[in-house]
Amino acid sequence: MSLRPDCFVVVLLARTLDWNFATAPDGSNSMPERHKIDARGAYCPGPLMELIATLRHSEIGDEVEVWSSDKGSASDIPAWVAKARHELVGVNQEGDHWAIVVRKAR
Amino acid sequence: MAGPPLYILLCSGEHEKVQIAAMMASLGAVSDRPVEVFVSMNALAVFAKAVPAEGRYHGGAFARLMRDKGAPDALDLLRQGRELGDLKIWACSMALDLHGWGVGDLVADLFDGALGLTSFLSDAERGQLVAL
Repeated sequence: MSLRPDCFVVVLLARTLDWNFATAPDGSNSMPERHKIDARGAYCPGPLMELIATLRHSEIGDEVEVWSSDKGSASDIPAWVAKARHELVGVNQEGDHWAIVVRKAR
Repeated sequence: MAGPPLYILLCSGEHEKVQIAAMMASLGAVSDRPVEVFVSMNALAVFAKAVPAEGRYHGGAFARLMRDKGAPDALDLLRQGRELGDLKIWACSMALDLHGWGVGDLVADLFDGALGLTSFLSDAERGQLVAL
């Protein structure tokens, strides 16, 4: 099988410019991680405080998934995320708890 | 994102009021609002170092629910607020004097010092004041 000239050019450019196709959105070479918090059984504002503490020690682009059986979390966490200017990835009710995913944006 | 500073004047020693004060303070602090709490009157005794944890809180029906269901501890919430946000906690100098206490007689790592009510109220003019 012969290599097409345009593919060869792309590979050459990639090596010349040291492109790293695994580069994370913030420019680092580490891929985003997803951290999980099982806060089922914890009462307000426990799940939110655990989320904030985890985000504090996370990198930009990392995601935190919180499992909470506290009904208020489904609205409190999105409200805080909007205020703190992070990204709300999703809020899903799964049986006896909500799974809320937040991406650290700054 | 930062809202106006929040000033909480906590005078009641009832568990329910201490709890809501701790919740407001910690949530305000982690939401980028500077928060200051002034602890006076019956509330100061809740923070006495000599009081065992199981005897710290007294309240009504909701206090029993919080205890039985394992609601977050008010002092732990305040510590989290200090760790994760801008939260200062002051002991009323008058209440300390009446007890014959110093700040060292209060639970460790929570108080920023003693303060007079006049100073606290003067600072509170800059923001929102809630009294419990």
